[in-house]
Amino acid sequence: MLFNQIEFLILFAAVFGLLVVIRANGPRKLVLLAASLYFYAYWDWRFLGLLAFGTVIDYVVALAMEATDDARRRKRLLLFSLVTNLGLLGFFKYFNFFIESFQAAFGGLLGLNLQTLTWIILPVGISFYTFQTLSYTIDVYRRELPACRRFTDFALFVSFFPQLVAGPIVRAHDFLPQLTQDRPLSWRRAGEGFALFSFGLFKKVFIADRIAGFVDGVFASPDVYGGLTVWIAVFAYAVQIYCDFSGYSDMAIGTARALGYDFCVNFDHPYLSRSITEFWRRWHMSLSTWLRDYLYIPLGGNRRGPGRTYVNLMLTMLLGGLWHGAAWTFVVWGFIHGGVLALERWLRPALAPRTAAWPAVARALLGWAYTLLVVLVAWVFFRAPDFGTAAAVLRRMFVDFDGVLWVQPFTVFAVLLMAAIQALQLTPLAHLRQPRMLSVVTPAVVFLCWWLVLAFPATGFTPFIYFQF
Amino acid sequence: MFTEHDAPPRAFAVRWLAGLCLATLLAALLTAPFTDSVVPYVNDPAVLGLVPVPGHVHRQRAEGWGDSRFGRFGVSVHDDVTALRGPTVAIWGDSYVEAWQVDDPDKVAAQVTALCGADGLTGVGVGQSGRAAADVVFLLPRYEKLFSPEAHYIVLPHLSDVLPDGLRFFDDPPRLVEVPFTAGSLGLRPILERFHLQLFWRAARTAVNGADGNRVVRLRPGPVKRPGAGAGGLGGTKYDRPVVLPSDATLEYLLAALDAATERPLVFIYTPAVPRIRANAVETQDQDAAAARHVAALAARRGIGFLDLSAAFVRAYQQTGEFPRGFHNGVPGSGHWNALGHRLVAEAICADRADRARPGGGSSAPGAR
Repeated sequence: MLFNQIEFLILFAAVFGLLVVIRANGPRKLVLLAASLYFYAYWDWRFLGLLAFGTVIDYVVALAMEATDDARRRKRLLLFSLVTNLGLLGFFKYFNFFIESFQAAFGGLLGLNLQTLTWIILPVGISFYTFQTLSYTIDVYRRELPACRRFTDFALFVSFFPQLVAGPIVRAHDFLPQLTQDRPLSWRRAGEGFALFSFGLFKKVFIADRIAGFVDGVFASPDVYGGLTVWIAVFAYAVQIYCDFSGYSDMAIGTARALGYDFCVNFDHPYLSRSITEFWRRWHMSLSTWLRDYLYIPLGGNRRGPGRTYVNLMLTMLLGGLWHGAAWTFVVWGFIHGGVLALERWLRPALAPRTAAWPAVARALLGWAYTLLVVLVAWVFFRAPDFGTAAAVLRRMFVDFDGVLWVQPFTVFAVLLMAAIQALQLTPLAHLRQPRMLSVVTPAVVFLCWWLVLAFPATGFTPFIYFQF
Repeated sequence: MFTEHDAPPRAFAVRWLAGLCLATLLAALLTAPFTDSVVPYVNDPAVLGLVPVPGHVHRQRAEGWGDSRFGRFGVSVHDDVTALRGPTVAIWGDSYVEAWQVDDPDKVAAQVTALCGADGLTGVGVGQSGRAAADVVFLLPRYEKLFSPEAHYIVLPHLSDVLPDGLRFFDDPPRLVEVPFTAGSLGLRPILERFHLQLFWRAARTAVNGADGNRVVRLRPGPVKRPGAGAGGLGGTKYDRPVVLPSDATLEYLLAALDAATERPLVFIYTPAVPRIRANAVETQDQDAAAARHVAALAARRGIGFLDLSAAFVRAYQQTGEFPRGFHNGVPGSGHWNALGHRLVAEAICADRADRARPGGGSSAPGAR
C-alpha cells in the first residue's frame, strides 16, 4: 500500500476514527497493530509470516539476553539474532544478486545457466525492519535498553505502518517508550501531521513523479542525448530521489504525528552540504546514524589510527551501498562516498589552515560545488541499471556533448524550485517554512499542494524509489 | 517544528477553511496558463455527431502548447468551411489531424494552404480524436455536402487505423458499424468552460478516477494477480509491437467501402513512428514497413493512393536534428506530430497534388484516381 493511494487514505481514516473513539492506550495499540499487519498484507499476505518470524525471534532473544548475566550466552544469543536477521535479509535480498554475479563471472566458463534460480521476490521493507530489529537486539545486548516485555508493543514497534516499508529507521529507544505512554490525539497534532503529509505528497507526486519520465527517458538512452540534456537529467534525478524519499519520510512522520507518535527527522537540506561528511549528516539521517552506531563504531571508528579509520569508512559505505540494492552499481556508489569521506578526513588537517584566510563565502561556495559534483556523479551509478549506462551518462556529462537536445520545462522548473527552497534555508526568510497552525498561511500552502497534486498528476505508476530497497 | 499551542477547534476550523479558500484562489490564478481547457461539444445535425462548439478556443498544455479555434462542423482553422471558395482538399484523421498540440497556423490544414496556396488550394482538416479509416466511410458523404474537396487524404499514424478494431470495423465476416463520438460530462462542459473551472474539473476527476482514469479500489490483501503477467503479455503501446494484418478480404472490404463512399481521389498518408528514440538509439526503420507495403498494394488495386512518409520523416530528422513527432514537454520522437511533422505531411499533400496534375501522375500508385 502506498501513501498516495486512495486505499491508504481509507485505512488512515478508519484507524484515526477508531483512535478517536477508543481512549485506552492498550486497545489503541491493538488497533494500530492490526492496521499495520493489514498494511503489510495489502502488498502480499504471504510475507506476514516472515515479518512475524523475525519479530518473535528478536522478542524472545532480547528477553533471554536480559535474563542472563552470562556474557558468552548473551553473545551467542546476539549472534543467533544477527545470523537469523541478516540471513533472511541476505537470502531474500542478495540471493538473486549472487546467482547473477556468479553466472556473469563463471557461467560461460563452466557452461552453467543459473538464471532459472533467480526466482526470489524481495519482501517490501525487509531492509528497513531488519535494521530496526537489529538495533533493538544490539541495544539490549549492550544494556542500553531494557527488553520489551509486552509482545504486542514490540510487534507494533517492528510493524508500525507509517514507517514499516521505507523508514525512517526508528530506534527502539525512541519509539518503545512512546508505546508505554498515553498518546492523546489533538487538533494541533492532526493539523501538523496533515500538513507534513501534504508537503510530502506534493514532493512525491507533483515533483518526483512528474520528472521521473524525463529522467527515465534520458537514462534509458544516454547515448542519444546531448551533454546539456544529460546534465539536466542528472540534476533532475538528484531532485527526484530527494523529493521521492524525503517526501515519503514526511508522509510517514506526518501520519505518525497525527496518530500521536513522533519519529526522528530523516532529511535536513542535504544539497546545502559543503562536504560529503556533512552530506551524510543531512541525508537519510536514520540510516547514516544507524550505520555509524552499529557498523562504523563497532569496527573501531576513528579510534585505531588514520589508516584503520579510512578502511572503516570505506567498509561502512560499501555495505551502505549494498544495503540500498543488490547490484554492483550500488557498491560503486558506496565506494565513491566512502572514498571521498576518507579523502576528506585525510586532507582536512592539511587544507584547513591553507583555506582559513579565504573569504567564508568563497569557501562555502567551493565546498558546496565540490560536494554537489561528487553527489551527482555518485547518483549516476545509483540510478543507472548497469555500468554501461553509467559510463554513457558520464561520457555525455564530461567528454562528448553531441546529441539530441531535450529541455523539458517542468523538469527545469522543478530543479530550480527545489534549489530555491533549499537556498531559502540560508536566508533570514527560513522561518517562513515553519508550519504554523494558528496562521492561515500553512493551511493555504497545504491546500495549494493538494490542488496541484490533484490537477497535475503524473500518469503511470511510479512507486516510491526506496521501496525496492 | 511547530510553535503554537493547541488551538481551539473553532479557531482551528476557521483558519483551515480560510486557508482552503485562499489556496483555491491561488491555485486557479497560478495554474490558469498551464491547464488544458475543457472542450464543450454540441450535436451537429449536418454531420450527425458531436463536434466542438463553433467559436470555442481550446488551450492544450499537457502535450505540446497550442491554441485551437473551432469552426463549424468540427473543422478547425476555418470558421465556416461552407464559405470556402476555390479548390480544397480534405484531410481526415484522428487526434493527429485535430492537432490540439500545435497552434492553428501550424496545423497540417493551414500549412497546406500556406504551401500550395499559390494555386488557390485550401486545406481542410477534419480530425477527431479516436477516429479511424472506418469512420471516414460514414463521414465522407456528409462532409462532401458541406464543401467540395478535390481529393481526400486519410492520415494513418499507425496501420491499426485500417485494421479491424472490434468496435467499428469487424472481421469474420467483415462489417462496418458507425461509432458515434462521445465525450464525458457533456452537460457540465459548457459550465466548466464558461467559468474557467478546468483546474477543479481535473482535480475532481483525478480524485475520483485516479491519475490514469482507471482507478479500482482494492481493499483485499495481496498478492494481486496482474493480467498478462507471466503469460508473455506484451507491454508498451501499439507503437512498440509489429502489427498483425488480417486477411486480405477484410482489408479489401474496408477499401471497397471507402471507394464507394466518394467519387473523388482518395489517398492514405502513412506516418509511422519513426524516427524515434528506442533502446538507446534513434530508430529509423519502420517495423511495419512490409505490412504497409501490402496495404498500399491492396489500396492501389482500388485506385486508392498510399503515401508512406517514413523516409521523409527520417530525412527531415537527419537534416535538421529535429523529430517530426514529440514536444518539449513530452519525449522527443514520441507522441503527436509537432509543427515540423505537420509541415512534412502538408508538403507531401502539395507534392501529391502537383504530381496528380501531371498526366498519368498521382500518389505514386499505379491506377490511382
